[in-house]
Amino acid sequence: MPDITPALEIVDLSVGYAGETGMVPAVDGVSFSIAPGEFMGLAGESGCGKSTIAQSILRLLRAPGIITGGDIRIAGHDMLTSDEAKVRELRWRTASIVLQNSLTSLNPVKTIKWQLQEVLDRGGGSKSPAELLQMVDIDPRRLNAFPHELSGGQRQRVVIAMALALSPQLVILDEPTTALDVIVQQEIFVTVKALQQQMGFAVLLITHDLPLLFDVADRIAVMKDGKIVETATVEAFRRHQEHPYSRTLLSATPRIDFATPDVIRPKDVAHPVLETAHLVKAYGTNPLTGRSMLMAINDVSFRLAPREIVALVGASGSGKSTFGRMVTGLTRPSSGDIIVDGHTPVPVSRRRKSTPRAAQMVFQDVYGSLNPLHTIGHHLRRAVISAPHAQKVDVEARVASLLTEVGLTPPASYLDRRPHELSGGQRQRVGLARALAASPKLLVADEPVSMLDVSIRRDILNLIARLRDEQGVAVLYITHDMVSAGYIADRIAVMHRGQIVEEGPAKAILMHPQHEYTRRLIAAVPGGLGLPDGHTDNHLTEATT
Amino acid sequence: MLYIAKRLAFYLLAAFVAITVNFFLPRLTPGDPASTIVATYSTTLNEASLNALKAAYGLTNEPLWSQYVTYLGNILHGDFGRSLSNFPAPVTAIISAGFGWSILLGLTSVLLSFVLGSALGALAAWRRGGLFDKLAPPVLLFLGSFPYFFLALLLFYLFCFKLQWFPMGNAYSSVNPPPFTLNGIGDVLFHLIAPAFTIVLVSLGPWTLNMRNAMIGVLSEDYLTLAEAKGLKPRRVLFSHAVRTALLPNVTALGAAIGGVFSGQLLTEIVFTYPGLGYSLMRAVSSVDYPLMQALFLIITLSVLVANFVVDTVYVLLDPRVRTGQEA
Repeated sequence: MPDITPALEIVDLSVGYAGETGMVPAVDGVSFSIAPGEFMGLAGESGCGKSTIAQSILRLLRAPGIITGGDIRIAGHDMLTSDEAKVRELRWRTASIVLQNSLTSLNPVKTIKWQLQEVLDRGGGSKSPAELLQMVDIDPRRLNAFPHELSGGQRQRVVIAMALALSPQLVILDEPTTALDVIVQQEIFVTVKALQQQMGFAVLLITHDLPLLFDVADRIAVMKDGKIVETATVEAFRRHQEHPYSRTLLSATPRIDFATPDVIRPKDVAHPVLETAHLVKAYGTNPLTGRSMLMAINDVSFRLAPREIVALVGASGSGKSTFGRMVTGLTRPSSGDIIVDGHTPVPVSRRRKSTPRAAQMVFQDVYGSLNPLHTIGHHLRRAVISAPHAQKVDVEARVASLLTEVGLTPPASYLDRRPHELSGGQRQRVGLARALAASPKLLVADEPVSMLDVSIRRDILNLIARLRDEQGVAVLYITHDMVSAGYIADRIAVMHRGQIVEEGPAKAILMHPQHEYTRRLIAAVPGGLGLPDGHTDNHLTEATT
Repeated sequence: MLYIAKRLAFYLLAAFVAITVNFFLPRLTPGDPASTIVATYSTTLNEASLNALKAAYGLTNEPLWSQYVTYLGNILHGDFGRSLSNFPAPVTAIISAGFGWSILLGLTSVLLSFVLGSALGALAAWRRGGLFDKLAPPVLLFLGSFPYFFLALLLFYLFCFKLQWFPMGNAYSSVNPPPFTLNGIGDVLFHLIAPAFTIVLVSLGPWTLNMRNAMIGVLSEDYLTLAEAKGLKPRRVLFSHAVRTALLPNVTALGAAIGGVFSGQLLTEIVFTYPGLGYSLMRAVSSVDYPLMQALFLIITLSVLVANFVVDTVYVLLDPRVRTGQEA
């Protein structure tokens, strides 16, 4: 290598957060370096300190975060001892950053041209805003667009273009595609890899997604509790993980067991728990012409048998969540029929005490779906009391048995806790217990694990499968993740632009997808599905070359 | 453009409703004002004069709806009838004399408190937890909890009466309005200071607090982190990114505030004997001048509507998100 100065060199970095009881360490003696042009992955779960490192590199850490020791050098420039003006001058020229949330990364009231130009105005950029957009495959005619007029993937591309405007030696990608769906994620990384080959910048990709790193990175560092527990090249790491935590993290990713065949259930049962006929949900319908701005659900006829788990898979905007909301009565259909356990879902506002609640919802956002002011006991008691036929049951005993069912034992120790005292996984268990309180025939689980850490996702999925086995509840599992769908579901229905384009036994769909869109969804899965019949794993490198 | 057209339609409808209410409300009260006035003169005037008086006040036996149509037509021609206390001066003449002064005082104080409050709020949020951030909000809220007239009386007593720093009322020193010269403008501004200062002081609190809270929200957004990461100068991060977006909620509040300031301003004008609409209104009330009152109410309502429409239009220019009909 001609240039021996590393793109990034971190030596013994320690960062703490000042709290009431003194300094709480977040990063503890971390050292690593990235060679010029190298693609480094930093993997770890939420709270392990990986984003704190990202912020420290550009010295963006805000109070109460304080760098307590160590050195950070970007392409030889010391970031910690330089004064504020010098650091400001180094930012973006030596290293730039792409943040997780593409929606809030751009100023909503300025055009993207203005925001790109703002960076170029610092001088040193060789490209015009139009050329920058072209570089990330966005039509330069969109220069005067505002951020809200672009899709999530396009916005993230704009930020990447911005990050490369001053040709830095290092680009930090802090979970850049977590909020995007797999197809968009794959397309973005194809672009990043191609640009990296052209321009030769180094990348630090921070993520919780190990399979993604297998696809894109050269080297992997695994972080836990503020320390790097293992650093290895991707090839070595795939073969053998030195540290037990790395093994835990890797094995936590659900793996589809292709050896056991699909359980084929009779297709036309006499009493399906859910049946929809020609279901339509249209938004922005013009009352004069009858034309709609958006067909969220377009003529969907679908059946779900008792005790069946069906995964409804699709990219964001495919209409899968709208479908789930209509099934539970949260949204009313424009036309068509829904029958849940023999009844049409009653809108929440018109529910009476005796109305059966055959379908219950489990929400994605485990932080927003439990009122932080109330105890777990209160949440569950309310759910039990408001369930139909509640007067006949002993509320406290029912709450305790619900908590036991979802694996929160002993129940008494959870009753008086509030949501913030629970981990994300425990919160989702409470969400499941709450949904079960009304003894539903159908659980509608809308991305129940996508906000959880990798290591607990499989536990929650296993719990859902167990609830089906023990309680006989059917599950509509809404997700964008093909792997977890194949892991848990009996059947997969693929949704695209408001229509179900393909439907069938789970493993059959994964192994022999018929529809073009299903193939794209499967191809975009980072790390591949682990198919038995010698499919190639590394889809991304395939797409790049 | 569609958005502005929609807002315009809404405000035209609101104006129409205001005019209608303004017409029907006095007529719904038992013994409507006009006949009361005529009744007081009925013993002293002869038949012909009484009829002439009735005609002048538009007191007819026509059905209500045809009176309403006549009223609408008159308003479109700018005819609000004649004043009672300054008979036979038309109401429009009296109003137009005070209107300019009220607009001057209103615009000055609203814009001043908006700009000042937003700047103070931005400063407090930028140096969050600093001394200024700890002191400014409670002090300003304390001042803001005073009623307008109370603070006005206090300041009037202190600065105009005791210290005599400022003139004791009126909008200019001479009998006639001053000429449009440097001296004249200076004189007008000098008379403006005390009443405008009162209004600014009372209304400053919410502006500061709202701006501070909006700024704190914006400061935690990713695009601010990114702006800082881009190596922009702190001034640029503050003004082009933080203040620019944090100002939006305050611009929305501007529309609502204009209504509130207007009513508070009326009382302030009375205390400082400032010759605006508030002063006219007080005279109208004390001399039971119904036509003048009715016209004043209408003018005030319509001004608030116009101000809100202007604010809505400005907002469209400031926030691209509402242009496509999405929520802000």
